[in-house]
Amino acid sequence: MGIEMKCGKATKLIEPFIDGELDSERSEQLQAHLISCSACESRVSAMRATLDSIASLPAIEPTARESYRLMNRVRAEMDEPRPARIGHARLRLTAAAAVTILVAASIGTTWVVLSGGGTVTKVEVAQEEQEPVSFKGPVETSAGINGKTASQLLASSVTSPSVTISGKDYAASELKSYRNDLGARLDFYASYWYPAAASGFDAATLANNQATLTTAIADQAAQAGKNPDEVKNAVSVALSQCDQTIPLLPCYAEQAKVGGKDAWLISMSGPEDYLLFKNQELPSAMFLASQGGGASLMISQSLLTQLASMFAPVYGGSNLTLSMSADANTDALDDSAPLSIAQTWLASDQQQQFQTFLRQLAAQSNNVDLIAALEGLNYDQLLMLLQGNWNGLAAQGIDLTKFLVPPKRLYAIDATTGNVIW
Amino acid sequence: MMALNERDGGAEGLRSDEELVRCYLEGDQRAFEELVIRYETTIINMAYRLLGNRTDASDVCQEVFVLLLRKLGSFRGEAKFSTWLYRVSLNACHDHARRLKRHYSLSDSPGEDLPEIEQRLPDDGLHSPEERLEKAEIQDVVHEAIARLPYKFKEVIFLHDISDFNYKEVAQILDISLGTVKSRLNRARTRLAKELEEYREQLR
Repeated sequence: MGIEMKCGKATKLIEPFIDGELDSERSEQLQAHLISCSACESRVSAMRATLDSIASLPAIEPTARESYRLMNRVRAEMDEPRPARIGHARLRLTAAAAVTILVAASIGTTWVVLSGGGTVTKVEVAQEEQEPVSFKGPVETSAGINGKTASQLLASSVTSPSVTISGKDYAASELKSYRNDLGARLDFYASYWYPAAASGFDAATLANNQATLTTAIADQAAQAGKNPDEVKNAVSVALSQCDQTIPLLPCYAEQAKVGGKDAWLISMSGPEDYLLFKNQELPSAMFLASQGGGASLMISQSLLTQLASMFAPVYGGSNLTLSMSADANTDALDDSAPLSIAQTWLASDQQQQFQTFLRQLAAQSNNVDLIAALEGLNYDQLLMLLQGNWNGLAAQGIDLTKFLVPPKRLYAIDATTGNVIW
Repeated sequence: MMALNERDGGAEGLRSDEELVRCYLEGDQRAFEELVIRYETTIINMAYRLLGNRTDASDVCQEVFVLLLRKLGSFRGEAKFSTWLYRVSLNACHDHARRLKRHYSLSDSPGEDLPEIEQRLPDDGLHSPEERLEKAEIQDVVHEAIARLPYKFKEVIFLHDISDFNYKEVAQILDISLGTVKSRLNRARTRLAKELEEYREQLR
């Protein structure tokens, strides 16, 4: 021990002492001083109290919406023209995607012509090589992939957009419930979204895809004796109506009437199921999607697996069976009120984990509705979701379209004026 | 810390910040997105403490990442990426604060959009509503008092007392001497202590 410390010096050492930045010798000197000096001792207490108050300030968490906005802004910024060295890597990807598009354009197209009398005529054009296992027209109801693995599917199936000449006169109310899900189909994903995702949704690839599909639609219309420029124009009007921040591809055109006017119905495909195809290692997710029949599963298996691994210790296999451990807190459930997952049964660290998961999902899937739908589930409902118990969810009044089906993007374009009718 | 990150990292594990920067500069946009996910919470907390309200914090958070994106080419890897990120972000917050030309005062109620009390108070051992209310009020007072500090003082409080950097790290981030760190901390804390003391006096 050195000489006894005076208050003046002690006061200067109090903060470094509390902050853990004082060497041991001076620490000991200060502590010795504090024992005999109540004034300095109370200075230490006061400083500790202040620091405790500061440290007790709660951290804030970004909301899913903030994360979504942020990621969109960042992506928009990254898509700005960049120096050449970055463009280089992009070019290679774009070239690879272009090859895929060429293949898509050269392999057979299948389309259905509904004549005025309602008879269905299937017209197959330019079928080359093996029979595609893909979907054979816009009116098919069950998917079925004939036991093929996803990689076989990927290798063999390339789907073209469909054109239907129905001539049917739709009322606006019918259009509301009308949908064509070709764009959400497995084979369409494999042909277009997979390569688009591989290029990081690069704008040039997307534009190429859009152009290729538009041309394919126009060609099919021409073969059916319709004016190709008319449908081309309809597609481009429909594209201009879409949310420009979401990559979309025209997947279906139908020559029909709306309220007596000649019109083209144009359907767009969007990458809602980004999660589904983002991971090429998950063929079972592709399989799962194919089992969705006319719809596609918005909640992909990879997402379900992630959810399950966070909230359920044992998760069994690809058929969505799930065992829950007994210690999950079901007691917290209150039958009378709609309780959200995060508010009720999760411990605070799990809540944070769940929120983080949702934020990342928001950032990755660009789908705010899906996030909101997930946030709104209670514990029981989450379990049902993990188990693929869609009937159970429906019985609880959950809007399954949020999980099951991508948003419908159908546009009715006046065939002669090019105006948007619907 | 994040389940999804770990998954995406796969067998190779989580990539370091510096590795992500390198990948981004070589054209991998996902690498930068990963940095965004990694640091979003940090930046929004920084902006919230330095600017005092949630709306500005949310806006600044976007500005910061756009700025980082533009400046990433000038990151030389001499310092740790996180040091560089804190430095750029603190400056961006400062610029934003200047642009706002706003002086936070009580009438501006920088704490008005604080989250609800219940959300801010996890299991803290306080049970009576009075205890909870008092703690929440003190948090408001501290938050507002920090918001009124000069920017230089806010920075050191945020880095040292909230983010747990030590003196040396704070000095590196702000590019100032150890002595300056200590004196700024001392002056900032003295002011905060004074305001808290005044608040407690009012309660008596």
